This record gives sequence, structure tokens and C-alpha cells, in this order.
Amino acid sequence: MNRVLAIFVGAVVLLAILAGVVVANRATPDLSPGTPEGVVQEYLKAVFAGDYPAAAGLLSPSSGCGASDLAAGYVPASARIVLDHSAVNGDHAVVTVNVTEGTGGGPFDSGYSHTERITVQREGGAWKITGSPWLLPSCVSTKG
Amino acid sequence: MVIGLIFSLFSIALPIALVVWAVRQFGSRTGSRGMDAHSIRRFFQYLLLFGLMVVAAVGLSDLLGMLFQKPSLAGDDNSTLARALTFSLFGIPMFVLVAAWSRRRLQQDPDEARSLGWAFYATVAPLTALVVAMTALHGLVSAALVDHRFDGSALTQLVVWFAVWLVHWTMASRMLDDDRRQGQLVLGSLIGLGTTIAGLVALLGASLDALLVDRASTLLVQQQQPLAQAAATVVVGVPVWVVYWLRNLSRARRTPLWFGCVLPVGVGGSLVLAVVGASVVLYQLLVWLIGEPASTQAAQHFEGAPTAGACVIVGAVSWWYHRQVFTGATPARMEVTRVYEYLMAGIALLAAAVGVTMVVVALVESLVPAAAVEVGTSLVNSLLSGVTLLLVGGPLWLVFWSRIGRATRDGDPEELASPTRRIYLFVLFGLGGVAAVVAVLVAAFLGIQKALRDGFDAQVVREMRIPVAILLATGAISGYHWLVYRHDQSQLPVAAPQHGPRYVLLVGAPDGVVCGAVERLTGARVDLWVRADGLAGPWAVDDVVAAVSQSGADAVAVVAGPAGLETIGMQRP
Repeated sequence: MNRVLAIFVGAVVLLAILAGVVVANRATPDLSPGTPEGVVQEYLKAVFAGDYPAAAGLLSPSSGCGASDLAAGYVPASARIVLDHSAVNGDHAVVTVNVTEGTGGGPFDSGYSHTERITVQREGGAWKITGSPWLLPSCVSTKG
Repeated sequence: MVIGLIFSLFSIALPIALVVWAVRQFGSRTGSRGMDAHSIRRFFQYLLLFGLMVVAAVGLSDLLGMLFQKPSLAGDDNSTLARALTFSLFGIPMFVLVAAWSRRRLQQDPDEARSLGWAFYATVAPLTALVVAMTALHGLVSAALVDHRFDGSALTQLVVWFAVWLVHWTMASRMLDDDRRQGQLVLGSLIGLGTTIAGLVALLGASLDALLVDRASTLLVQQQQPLAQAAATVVVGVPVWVVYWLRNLSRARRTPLWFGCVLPVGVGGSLVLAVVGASVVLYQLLVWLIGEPASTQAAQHFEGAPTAGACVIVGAVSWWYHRQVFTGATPARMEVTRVYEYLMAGIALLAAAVGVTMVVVALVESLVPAAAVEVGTSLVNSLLSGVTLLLVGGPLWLVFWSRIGRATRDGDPEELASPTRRIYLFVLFGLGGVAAVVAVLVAAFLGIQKALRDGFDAQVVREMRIPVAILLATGAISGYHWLVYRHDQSQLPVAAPQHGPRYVLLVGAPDGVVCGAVERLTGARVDLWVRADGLAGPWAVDDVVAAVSQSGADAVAVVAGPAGLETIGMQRP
């Protein structure tokens, strides 16, 4: 009976290792920059990498934000962002993402999750971000 | 999220376990089983085992759940993966080590299997796994029904925690005796029953709502698919109830805990649910017919009525079922029966008292209209809510109080002196009295304040209406129960005053029974010291009791020697 238990536990640990290897080697998908989701991905990557000029380049002029506004805004130390879905309506689109923030605080910090909607608009043939309640300060109202 | 859930569950369970443990340790009067190193070791050992069980299961379910997760758009995934790997690769082997060590101890030492630490682990661990698995199943089913999508991480969570539950369930049924396993069965049954009833109420309410209420006239968009959410809750609750109650607890030995689960919770809780639902429906109906409804549209006015109606139906069925189970057990009248009847009578009386208060307030308001125009709730509606509470609480109180009255009619001392009756009478007399005194002070303050400001007129009476109404209701309750208590006292036989010593020290041969027997027969505190010279015959309880009761001293030492018992009266220096 002890041997059966040992084999079972060994198999479970092996399965865990296997799952870990699979998950660790999974590549981040590269979405096409010509789609609303692709622009959102590029923007988020640039913000997390600290490349604010590149991020500002993806913003619509109507948002009123520049690189300095983005640099002054709040960016979580670590976050995991998963695409939920995107709804395209002509030249306007809403990209919904699920965010899990603050997972870097040790093994007993499971972080907290929230859902964000990022609005995107087609301007001159390219999709640009017009607004987001998260990672994008509301620059228009502060500048009058 | 799982860690947060378990932490909140555990923060409720741990203080209870600590209190039980402390009472068992420090409350034991014999002293031989006092706090020893073993119990402290067990406490930390099983706490560690529980913590490692949670860590291992969370790690494994997180890791397997990641296989089903959508890939991350941006941000790093490493800390979640690192946590899952740490918990799996270190948590599982550590758990297995501690579990194997615990199992060996349990097999070798019969004391270990009887210990509170082990019973605590064998109760809390399967219940924790059960609750997490239920949450996961609810997530899985509601994702499928509401969003029509497959939630892979909920599935892995369900599989892992169900396996944890299954292992602990099997282990507890093999290694705990039936009476010590009943704690788990009762808690699991209550979890299953509560979830099932909540789901059924929501399901029935949503169905009635969908069938009866015309949505075309409603402008507000409601929560999407309440039917699917409710169905998911039922799907989660029913199997738990079937396994814990139907297949196990309902066939278990009829202990006081069993009756406690069936009568106050099963019968009483269901009755309260049904009555509350009926009151809501009655109130809405009365307001619609003779009151001042806030909306002229029936669909809007009766918005909460389907759920309240569902409470009535589900509560009534559950009440009938538990009543059948209880009468099937054919018990004599016992303390749990009293707890149930007095609890119901108390709740009904409270509702009726609130009803009386509201009716009195409404009467004063109608007799003395406000000097200025008052904007707020309608007078008719507040009168109707008072009447509803009176209509529901009054008859219910009458039913239970007359049932209690039949049991006390012949002056049965067991009934009259029962702790439940004492507590009920004292609580109502005491709480009623305190509330009445506070009401007097508040009424006087409001009256004097108003009189000083505007002079003494009818408006002063109006100002004092709420505390005066409370005073009337609580004063009547307090006075009535004081009279009942006095009547009880006059009927009870006068207890014979206790004579004899309060402390007995036995010196003689070791004996496991004599202490308890002498304690029970004399009412004194008894200690046994063993003679080191071995010159003592076996104890005879009757001889000891006779020797003790002949002595007039407050404390007595009884020394068993070769020539018989020697009794020495003692006093403090």
C-alpha cells in the first residue's frame, strides 16, 4: 500500500514538473499590429518596458496624453494581462483585458484581478488608443 | 483567491478550536490529563499538516490550471509560475513527509487517535477541501451556463480539491469513530443544505419572475441570466447534501448534535425562512391594496415578490421534510426540543414586539399630525408593516408558547428548571428591562428638550412617540416574563440545602473510578493521592461516602490504611 502511495505522489510531482515546463516555455502570442488587440498589446508592452515615447506614439491625439504623462502615471511592479475579447464596430473598437496585479509580493500573495476596457479608434488607417481607465491618465480634463 | 478563501474559513475555525482545546485542557478537574507536551506538539503538528495540505493543493491546482489559461498579452508570468512550482515541488513532498509521520504515530499510539488535534484536522481538512471544490464547481457550471465557455482553471481546481476531499473523507471514515466524525457530517450537511436552499430559492424566484412578471414594461436591465446562476448553485449544493446528510448523517446515531442539526436549524431555520417570505408577500399585498405603493406598476411594485414567494415554498418544503425526520426519530422531550421551541417563541415575540411598537408610533403620528410638512415614508405603509409583523409574529408566538405551556402545566420540575427556560426568561426579562430603562431616558430627554425649545404642547407627545412605544412593548415583555419566572419558582420544590464537606482528599490505593463516584455522590471536589508505602486496600465507594458524610468539617482527608478508613477533618491555617 505504501508503494502505491509513493508511486501516486511521485506521479503527481512528475505531472507538476511537466506542467511547469510546458507553461514556462509557452511563448507570448504576437498579435498583428493592424488589429485593435495588437495595438493594445504593443501599448501595454511598451508601458511595462518603460518605453514611454513608443507607447505615446500609439495614442490617439484625442487622448491628449504624451510620453511625459505616461511616465508620471502609475504602473504596477508586475502584472499579468490576458485578452478577454474585443468588439469592433466600424472604426471603433473596445478591447477587454483581464489584469492580475501584484503577483510579485512573495509566495503567499496571490494578487488581485480586475477587468479593464480599452477603447481604440481607427485614425488614418491605423488603430490608436483613445482611452483606458487603467495605465492611461485622463490628460484632457487636467489640461482643461 | 483560494488562499484568501481558506484563510477566511480558517480564521473562523481556529479560534473555535483553540477555545475547545483550552476548555478541555484547563477545565479538566482531575489534573492527570492536564496540559502536557503531547497536546502542544499535536496542536502544531496538525496545524502544520493542514497548512501544508493547503499549500500542496493550491500549488498543484494553480500549476495545472495554467495549462488552460490564455497566454498573457503583456507583463510577466513568472511570479505566478514560480509560486505554483514552489508550492508543488516543495509543498507536496513536505506534506507527504508530515502525513506519513502522523500516520505512523496514529497507528502506534491509541492516545494519538483519540486526541483533539487529530479530530480537528480530520474535521477541518475535508470541509476546507469541500468548500473550495464547491466554489470551483460553481465557477465551472456558471461559466458554462452563463457565458457558454469552458473554464479550465476551475476544472483543475475542482479535480485537485475533490481528490483532496475524497482522500480525507475516506481517511476520516476509517480512522475516526462515528461520534467523533459527526462534527464533520453535521457541518457538511449544513453547508449542503444552506447551498441547496439558497440555490432553490433563487431558481424558483427567477422562474416565477420570468413566468409572471411582464418584462416589457421594465426599463431597468437586470442581472443577466439569474436562472443559470441559481441552477449552478443547486448543482453544487445537492450532491453535498446527498452525500453528507442523506447517505450518512440521516442514518447516524441520534446524538444531541444530530438533533441540534435537525431541530433548531432544519425545522426552525426553514420555518423562519418561510415566515419571513410570507411576511414580505403579505406586506407588499397590503400596501398594494390599501396602502400607498411607490409605483403604480404592478411589475415594479411586486419586484421582490417572486423571491419572497420562493422562500415560502422552499422553506415550507424543508420545514415539512425536517419535521418528518424529527418525528421519525420519536424522541422524548429533551433539551434540544426546548431550545427549538424557546428560540422560535423568542423570534416570534421579537417580531410581534416590533409590530406593536410600529403600530403605536403610527397611531401617535395619526393623532398628532406634524406641525410642518413631513416628507418621507407613508404613514399608512408604516402602519401596515407593523400590522404585518403583528399578524405573523403574534400567532406564531402563541403556537410555540402554548406548546411550552402544555409542557409546564403539570409543574414538571425538569421542564421548569431546565437551563433553556431559565435563560429564555432571564434574557427576555433582562433585555426587556434594559431596553425599557433606556427608552425612559430617551423619551424624557426628547420631551424635555422639545418642551424647553417650543413650550409644552401636543408636539412634545409626538416627539416622544418612538421611545414611548418601545417602552410599552419592552416593559410588557419584561414584566410578563418576570411573572412567569416567579410562578415557576413557586411551583418548583425547595431544594434541600447541601451538607457535607466541599473538598475531599483521598489517600490510598490507585483507583480510576473512586474519584468520580465520590465527586458525584457528595458534590465535593475530590483529589486522590496514592500511598507510597503500598499499605492500602482497595477503595469501597459506599464506605468512603459514609465516612465523608459523617464528618462535619468543610474539608476532609480520608486515609485508607491496613486497619480501614481514617477520616481527618481539615481547615486552612
